[in-house]
Amino acid sequence: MIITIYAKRYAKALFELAQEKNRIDETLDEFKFFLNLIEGDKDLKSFLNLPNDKEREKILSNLLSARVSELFFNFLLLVLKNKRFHLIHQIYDDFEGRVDSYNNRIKAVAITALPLTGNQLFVVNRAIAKYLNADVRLENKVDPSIIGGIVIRLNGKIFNASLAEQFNRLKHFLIKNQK
Amino acid sequence: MEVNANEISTILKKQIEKYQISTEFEEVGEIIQVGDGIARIYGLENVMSSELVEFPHGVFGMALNLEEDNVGCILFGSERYLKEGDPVKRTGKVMQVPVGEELVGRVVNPLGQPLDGKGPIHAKHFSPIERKALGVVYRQPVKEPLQTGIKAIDSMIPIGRGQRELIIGDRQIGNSTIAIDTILNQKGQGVFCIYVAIGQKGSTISKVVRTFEDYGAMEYTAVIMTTANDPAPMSYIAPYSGAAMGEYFRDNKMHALAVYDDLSKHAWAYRQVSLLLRRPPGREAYPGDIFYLHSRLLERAAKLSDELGGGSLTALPIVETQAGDYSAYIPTNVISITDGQIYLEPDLFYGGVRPAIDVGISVSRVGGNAQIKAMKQVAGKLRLDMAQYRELESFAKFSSEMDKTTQAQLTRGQKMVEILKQDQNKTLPVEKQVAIIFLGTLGYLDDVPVGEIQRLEQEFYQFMDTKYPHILKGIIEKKELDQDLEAGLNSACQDFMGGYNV
Repeated sequence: MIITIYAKRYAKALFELAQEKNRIDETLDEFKFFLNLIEGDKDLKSFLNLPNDKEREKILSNLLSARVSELFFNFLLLVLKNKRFHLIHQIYDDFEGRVDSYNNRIKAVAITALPLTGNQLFVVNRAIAKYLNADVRLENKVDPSIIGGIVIRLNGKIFNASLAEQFNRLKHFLIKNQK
Repeated sequence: MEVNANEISTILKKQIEKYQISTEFEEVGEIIQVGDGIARIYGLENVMSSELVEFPHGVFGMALNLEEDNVGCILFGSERYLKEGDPVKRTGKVMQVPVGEELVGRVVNPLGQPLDGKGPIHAKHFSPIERKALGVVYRQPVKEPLQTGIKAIDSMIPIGRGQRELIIGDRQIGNSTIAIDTILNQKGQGVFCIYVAIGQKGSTISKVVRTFEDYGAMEYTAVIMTTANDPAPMSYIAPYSGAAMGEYFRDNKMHALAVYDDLSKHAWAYRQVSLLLRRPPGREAYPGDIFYLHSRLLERAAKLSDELGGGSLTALPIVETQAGDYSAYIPTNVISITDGQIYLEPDLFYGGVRPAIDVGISVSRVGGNAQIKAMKQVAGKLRLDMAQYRELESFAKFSSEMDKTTQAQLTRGQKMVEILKQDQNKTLPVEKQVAIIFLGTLGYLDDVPVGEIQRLEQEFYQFMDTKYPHILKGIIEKKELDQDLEAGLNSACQDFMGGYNV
């Protein structure tokens, strides 16, 4: 997902505060919990996008105060006040990336033509972890257009061992070598 | 030739066996937006300025704008199949084009891909399209002439090897013709030519290539072309790849001539790219670095020092003016960069003086160093005659009565103008130029009616070829008119004029 610089600034601020308070993992969990909440409830999501500060604050506080920390709650209010709520997913992505790199962990996406089984996931995970010398958080995405093999995407890098890519390269190889 | 299907399978089998799989981690970004020959890319955080990047479907691009959260690229290929979210790979290389003798005789696009249907180009050398121009210590002053074969230029606005001479004028009055004739005249001179057509009509380019073929000029010429319907980034890099191809010859102790036809279209292409990349517009909406765009291109023309082999790259940029406006932005820029300019004048052109060179305001800042001595000797007098003629010409329109000297100067001028006329694609070797100018400046033609001069000129060349070839040969060998030669030439002229009157 594309992360704009606006989102990065919010994520950075949240991360640094969480780090000061030593609540990094907790904040990430709260963030995840909150996103799940609004994803599961379309009405809540559209309500938060309404431009009504006073009411919103009250309701949010009733809804969340028992469940999230003051830090995250304040962060949320600030995002709403500055009318950046539409960036909330980007902020989450960037925040997650910061937490990952803080924990020497890397997020990787394995794209395959068919879903990987649990054992396959484990093997791929271990291989990448060994290559990068870091913990790996592996996600599996399915994309039939790669035909076969595997494509691994890390932050800004790609390891393309798909059949589609091999065919493509073979095509160029054959064209180049014709006399 | 019969092709056996079995054979093909065998070849393919062999090739596929040779094919090896190797997969590496690659840095990728994704397209945010694509269109109008540019793309914006998210990611590619480590990409360098002017780095080549690879899009899907074999399209390449060049990173021009490195911004805080995106990269602006120009595309060298069709954007038709590219869409938002497509991966874009870094290549870690800068843009390169094939260079060398393999390109001679070929018509290619600015990426060095053949467009003439004569098969692939197996070039041994590649060169980055953007190279830093050479420093001062690697150069030497221009000293050898680059003969254009055009009397008016070789005599009064001489061009030397390594010089940058601008050809400037309105459309359709013979800008390209001068450059093309110059290329035609390089036959057998050991000068490789590169003709860069920027954003021109396809029909025009094909006509030019046909001319080159007809006169045997493709044996030493490479044509780089972008047509008007090519994407602007292609037109933008065209002169740079032309310069890269020329530099190969320059750096390998050879001589090259690069014609950029024309730089106003190049500036337009760059303006389009810049505006689409959201660089701030300046005067006439050109970006701020439009001067640098042309100066860094033309600065690559050079005469190398003897330690480096003494090769040269001459540049003949062409700039098209609108309604004779030489003080527009791009013309003034390029005028200030080049070592002189050849002005073409519509009034002269439509008045029948072709090439329509306005010798009054055309200059070559390299000057006499780029002429053989014999030419210098005769051209001094010619320049003087022409200057006097121009001064009197307007004045003479008012008074019918003139004293004899004025009258004489006027007729001399008319005859010289007549002599300097020259047909398209009919270049003239320097020794004949010297001879005809000698004939004119010494006043042998003063009594010949103006209408007769063109015919007389042709007869004079034939006469010299048949009766006095040793004098023409002498001029080439000695390169100067010593007493013997001068006397010989004089008597040849007398002989010819005597025969002519009869």
